[in-house]
Amino acid sequence: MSDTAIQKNQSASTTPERMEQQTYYTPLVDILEKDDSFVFKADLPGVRPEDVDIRYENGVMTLSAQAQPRQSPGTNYIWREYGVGPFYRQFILSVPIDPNGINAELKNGELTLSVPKAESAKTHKIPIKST
Amino acid sequence: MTDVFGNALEDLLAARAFGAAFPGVNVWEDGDNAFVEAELPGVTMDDIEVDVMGNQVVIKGERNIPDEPGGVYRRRERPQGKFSRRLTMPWDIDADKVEAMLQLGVLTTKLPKSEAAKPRKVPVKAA
Repeated sequence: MSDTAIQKNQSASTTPERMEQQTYYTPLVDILEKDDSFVFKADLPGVRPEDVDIRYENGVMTLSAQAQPRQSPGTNYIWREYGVGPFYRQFILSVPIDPNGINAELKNGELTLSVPKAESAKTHKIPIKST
Repeated sequence: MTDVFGNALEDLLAARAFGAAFPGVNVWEDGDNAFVEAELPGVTMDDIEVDVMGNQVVIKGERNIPDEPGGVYRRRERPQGKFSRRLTMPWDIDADKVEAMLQLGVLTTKLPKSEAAKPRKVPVKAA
């Protein structure tokens, strides 16, 4: 249990990433490697499916998403621990993948990306013959 | 940029986001109500409990990230397990009228101020 006493006009700041004059937030991800695919799971709270953009080019997968502002600009904040804005993160994939087979699903602010490996990168089990 | 197979600097950058208490909260007010918002991706309403007593609100629950069978985790940054935050407001909360809503992984709790704590206009009498 963590206790927080709210007082007026007090604020805890968040430390977002700064890029190209705009503030971006780095989503937290889990990456699972299977024999024939990768599964990426990213936390994108406050993001609708239509606000997500996923691109793959030259071995780099780029995830960007827009979290719509949830309060009006004049909101009277009395305590702030996080900011709301666009999410951005790039992944270098050192294993060739099949970009046409990427599948993305967003539910409860949680993005699941299934990224199949290219045929050449899949694990092949070699049968052993007995003589 | 993140190499799937590990990057110490990126780990440090990611760890920064959860150096503080989890979940992070934003609080604002509009005169009659206070609002507490928390980012809880991947959590359903069944996993969350909001308790109000006097001038305190407790948001607690559990986030479970099920293990996916048949793979190796290359990176695990997302927090899981039990969480609990207790916030003490500068005024009493009208516990009967508290509302909580979970949308797109964001919990918003509306905490109406008790009658005694609401702002009121004091009529000034002309002498």
